[in-house]
Amino acid sequence: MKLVILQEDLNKALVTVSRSVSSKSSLPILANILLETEEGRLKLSATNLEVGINYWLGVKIDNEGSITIPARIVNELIASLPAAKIELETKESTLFLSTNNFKINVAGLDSAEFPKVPFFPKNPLAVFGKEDLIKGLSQVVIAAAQDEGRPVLTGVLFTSRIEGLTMVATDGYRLSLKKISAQEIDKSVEKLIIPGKTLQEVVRIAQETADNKGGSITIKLGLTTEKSQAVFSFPNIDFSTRLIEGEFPDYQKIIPQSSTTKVIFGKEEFLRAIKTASIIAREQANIVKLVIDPVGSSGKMTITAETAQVGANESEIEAKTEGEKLEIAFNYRFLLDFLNVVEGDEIIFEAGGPLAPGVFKPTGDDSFLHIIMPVRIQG
Amino acid sequence: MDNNNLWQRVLEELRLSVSKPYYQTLFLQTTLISLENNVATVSCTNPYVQGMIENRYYSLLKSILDSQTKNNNSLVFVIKTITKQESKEIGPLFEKEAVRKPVFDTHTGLNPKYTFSSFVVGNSNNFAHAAAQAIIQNPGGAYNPFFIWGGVGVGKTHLMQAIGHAILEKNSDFKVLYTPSENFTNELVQALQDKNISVFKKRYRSIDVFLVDDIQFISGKEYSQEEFFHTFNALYMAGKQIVLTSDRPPSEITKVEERLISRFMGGLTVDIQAPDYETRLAILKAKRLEKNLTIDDAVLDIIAQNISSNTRELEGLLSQLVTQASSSHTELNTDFAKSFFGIQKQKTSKILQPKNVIAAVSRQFQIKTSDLTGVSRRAEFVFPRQIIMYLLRDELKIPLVKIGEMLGGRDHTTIIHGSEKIRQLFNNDASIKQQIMLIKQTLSE
Repeated sequence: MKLVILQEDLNKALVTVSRSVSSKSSLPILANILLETEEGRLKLSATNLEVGINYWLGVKIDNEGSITIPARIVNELIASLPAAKIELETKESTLFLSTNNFKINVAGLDSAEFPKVPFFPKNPLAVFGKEDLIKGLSQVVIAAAQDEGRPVLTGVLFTSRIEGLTMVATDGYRLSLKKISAQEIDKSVEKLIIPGKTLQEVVRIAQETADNKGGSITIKLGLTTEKSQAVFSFPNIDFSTRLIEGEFPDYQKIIPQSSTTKVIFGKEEFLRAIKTASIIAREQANIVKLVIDPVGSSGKMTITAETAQVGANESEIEAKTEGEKLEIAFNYRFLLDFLNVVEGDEIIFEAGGPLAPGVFKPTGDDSFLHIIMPVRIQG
Repeated sequence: MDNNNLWQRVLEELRLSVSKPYYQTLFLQTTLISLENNVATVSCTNPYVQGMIENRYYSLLKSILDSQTKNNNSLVFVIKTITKQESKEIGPLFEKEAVRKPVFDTHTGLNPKYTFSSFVVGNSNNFAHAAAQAIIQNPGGAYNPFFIWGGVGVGKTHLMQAIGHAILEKNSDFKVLYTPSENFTNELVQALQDKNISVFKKRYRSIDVFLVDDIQFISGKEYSQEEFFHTFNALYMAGKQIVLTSDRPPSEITKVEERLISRFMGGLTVDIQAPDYETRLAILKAKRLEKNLTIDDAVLDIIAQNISSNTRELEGLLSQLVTQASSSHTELNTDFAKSFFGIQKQKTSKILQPKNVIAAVSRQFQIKTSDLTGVSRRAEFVFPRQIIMYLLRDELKIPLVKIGEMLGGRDHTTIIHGSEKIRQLFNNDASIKQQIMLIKQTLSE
């Protein structure tokens, strides 16, 4: 293999691809990145057996060929080089890199050992706009469980609707639901559960993707032919991930159909009040309390936190209140997670009592819903 | 040879030919699903693994399988992900359906939760429990009325309602009525207002088992007492079972007419004490089962040790502990429970030295240690010296002869006499007991 490539292009590709390299596999080949010429372009591939990535780069090819090289070392080497043309050449299992001033050779491994990283299939399941997907995934992924003890809950459930997909994640304490618009939906696939962790990587790759011509970017989702893996297709990148097998809990039955108290308040004000309260609350149980009294003191909501050894805090924000008086407590981390991803200026909060799940959503947007289980408080 | 055994042999042979990391990553989780018509179907956990085996190790795997089966086989690979055992609990959000409010039976007023199966019997309540069993066997005949008294949250209401449930279970046509005495009064007042007192009388006098909770609240309400007296008499004469509870014995209920009190005492009066440690632990274990919690015995032990007052508090603390742990996403282990109760990790008790004991006694009585260990038998020295003997023998378990040596070469019989004398005084004389407790306290600091 012999080719010429720009340092900026190669560096950017290596940074993205390296994140899918296995960090702790016992197989040496999995710590490597595959470089391979393919139809006039250079393909970089990496996998940790859970996810896989193919990244294509425009290059000037003199000789076809392939090699695998240790990701960590090459990544650092290329990053340290100045922005210039780099010549890549392989001799047996060694890669020679040269610029005007540098000559480097790196010992690689035979590319025949490298596992095949799946490509995007012919037919997509759905096609998303880039911004829609980034926003939607960010809003849902926060609620996926970290704890591997319940594998199904570490994933995000995708189900198809008429005009798009519904994405749901829950860790048993909170639930996030987002309806995302999409085109070319294949309704034969009823549901998919994709690991939340790999969806975070999808968001990162999407954020890094830019269109040279400044046009809008679409991202496609598909299944491999054996239906064992999901593949996200970006311009010049295919990112594949394993699927989670199992039954996702019946989330529809826990979405409250009615409420006894309803409040509408400004997001920024609420966020500030929660952040202040969290300073007190984090010292013990992370509990902040919301007090809503539509009859006694309408037009406001009180946010309090109290920790015996530290102190107490109380803030009031303007709010439109309806219904019954309610004192409800939440883990402030869950509130912050939600507030950090929700869009819009105003939030609607509804609950059916101090122990009933609290429903949060932005005003004027029915596509996003976040449910948080309150904390039981004394007195 | 079955597929499992065959595949085991293939893998063992394969292990010799491939390096360990490859063997572990690629082959360890493969299984032979079937071998039919010389086609072996092998499952892999992961499509990458499948691809790598197919590309690199197909011929090796085939040759090993062929030599093991002495046949010409071909291999097919399928993907089968290992699904881990899902734990059933999926967080409080999904538990909503399971938690149902106890439905009170409007007919009998009984709470379905309070049955004998959830009633833990211990030292503090076994007599009351036994009496209750006799009543169930023979309602109205064994002990009538049955009067249960005890402090808050010891299980009076629970036992009373359990009797109601058990009698209903045996005789489904019995009319059982549970009512707090407060209700009795309220209904009476209502009946008087509505001018249908005869309906009220009829309702209460047609009952087979009458359970009245917290009868002490009837005190000072004269008209209620009068009506209750008549109801009581009517039921009693008809041989119907009456069960009453109160927070004090009948004789201590004030402002209640004598004739009513004497009737209360006409049957059997039992008291229920606050549960002892073993009972508390048993109650907690029963609650754990009832609420389907996964909590270590050690944690329950900590709760049982720290809450001694009553069952209700015990139950409350258990659920408080569980909610706090789940809301802060921490595991409910002994450390969490200890920090919840504010228990410091126990300091290792320092080893008491005899000289510390002597020094403490000398400080307490303002006598020089040399006098205490000296030969003088003056009365003001002898008594403290005997306390030392008692402490060294009973607390430090030092041999008699050795104590004798420490206290100026005294005979072991002297030590026996001295320590025995103090032990007796300790048990009988409050002021001496207090003095010794004071010394013990300074020693433990």
